[in-house]
Amino acid sequence: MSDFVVISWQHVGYAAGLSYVFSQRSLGLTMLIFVLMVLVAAVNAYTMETRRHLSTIALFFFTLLFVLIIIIVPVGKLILSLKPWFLPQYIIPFGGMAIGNAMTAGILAQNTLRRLLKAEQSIVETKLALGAGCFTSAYPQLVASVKTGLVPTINTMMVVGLVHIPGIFGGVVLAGVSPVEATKYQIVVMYMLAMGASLTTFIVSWATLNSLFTSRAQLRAEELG
Amino acid sequence: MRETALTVENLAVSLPPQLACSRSQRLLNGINFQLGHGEMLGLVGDSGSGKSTLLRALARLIEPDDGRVLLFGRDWDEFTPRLYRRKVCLLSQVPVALPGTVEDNLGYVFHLHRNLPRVDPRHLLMEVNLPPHLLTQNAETMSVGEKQRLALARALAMQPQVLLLDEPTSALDETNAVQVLDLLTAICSRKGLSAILATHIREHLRIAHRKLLLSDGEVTENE
Repeated sequence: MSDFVVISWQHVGYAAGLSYVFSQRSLGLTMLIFVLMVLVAAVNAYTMETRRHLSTIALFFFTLLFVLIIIIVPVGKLILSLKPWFLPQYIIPFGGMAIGNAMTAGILAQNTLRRLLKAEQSIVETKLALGAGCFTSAYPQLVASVKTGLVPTINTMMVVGLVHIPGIFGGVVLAGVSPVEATKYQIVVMYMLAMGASLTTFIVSWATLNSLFTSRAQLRAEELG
Repeated sequence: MRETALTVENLAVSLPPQLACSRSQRLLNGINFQLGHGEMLGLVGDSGSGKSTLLRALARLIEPDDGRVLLFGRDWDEFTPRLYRRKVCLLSQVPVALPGTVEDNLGYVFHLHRNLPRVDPRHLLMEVNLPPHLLTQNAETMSVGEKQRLALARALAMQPQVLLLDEPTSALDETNAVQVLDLLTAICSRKGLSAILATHIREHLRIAHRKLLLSDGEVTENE
C-alpha cells in the first residue's frame, strides 16, 4: 500500500507533468486532466464493489463530472475571481479535492444502500407486497445510506479549525499567508466539499435505488451482492 | 359453479442469470390452474419444489419469463403493481413486523392506500384473535404466532380478493398452527376470500377444498 502511495505521488509530481499543465493555462488541457481524474475515481468506485457492476463506472463518471462542473465554475469565476477562471494551479487542486471527497461519499452511500437492502430484504419485500412503491419501501434504507455517505464530510465540518486542521489551511499558512486569509480559502473548500459530497450522495443513492428495482416494483435481490 | 378468481396460464419462472448455473435454470415450468371465488386451494410439495416461488410470482414480486395471470378475468398487466398487490396479498413464510407499534403496522396499510375505508385497528386485531391492548406494543417484540396474526390482520385491512399464504404455520408449534389454520378457514369463508395455502405438511390441507401437487417446478397432480 505504501509503495502505491509513493508511486502515485511521484506521478502527481513528475509523470503527470502538472508543472507543464500549470504553465499552459489551457482550458482544453485542464478539462482533459479533470476527465482523467474523474475516470480514475469512477474505476476506483467500481473496484470497491463486492459484486461489480460495469454501470457503476458510468454512474460515477457522469455524476462526478456533473458535480465537478457545478462546483468548479462558480468557485473559479465568482468566489476566487481567477483570471482566467480555469487557472490550472488553483482549479486542479480544488477539483481534485472535490472529486476525491465526492467519490468517497458516493462509494459509502452506494455500499450502505446495497448492504441495508440485503439485510432488510424481508422488510422491504413485505412493504412491496402490501402495495408500497420502490421509494416508499426502501425509504429508511435510502435515508441511512445518504447519512452514511455524508458522515465523513459533516464530521470534518463540525470540528474543522478546532480539532482538524485541514491540509489547504496548513499549506497556505506554511507558505507565509496570514491565518485569516488561509481561513477564507478553507471556508470555500469546506463548502465546496460539502456540496460535492451531498450532490454525489443524493444522485448515486437515487440511481442505485432505481437500478435495484424493476418498473413493476420488484426488488432485484440478485443484484444486492 | 364458482366464479374464477385467479387464472394462471403457462407460468414459467427462471433463476436470474446472475445466480443460474446453466443458461435457463427453470424454477417453475408451464404452471396452469384456476382458483375459484371463495375457494381454498392447497399447494403441496416438498421443500424446494417451487411453492414459495409460485406464490411470489403470483404476487408479482418476481417477474415470470412466460405466462400470465387473470384476476377475475382481467389480465394482471391491466393493474398497477400497487392495486394488484392490494387485491392479491402475500403472507410470507416468516411473518415480518414493520418497525413501530402494532397500530403503526396496521396504519401503514391505510397510509399506502388512502382510498381504503378506514377500519378500527381494534376491530382488525379482534378479527385475528389478538387482544386490542396490544395496539401500543412494539410489533417487533411479539411472538412469531402473534406476528403471523398481525400480518394477517394487516392483509385483511387491505380488503384483498385473493390471499397467498406461504406456509403460514411453519414457524408455529402444533397448537398455534391449528389455531391459525382454523382462523384462516373462518375468515376466508366469512369474507368469501379466495386463498392459496402452500404447505409441505399434508395434514394441514384438511382446510383446502382442492389440492395442487407441485414437484420440481411443475404441477404433477390436481385433485
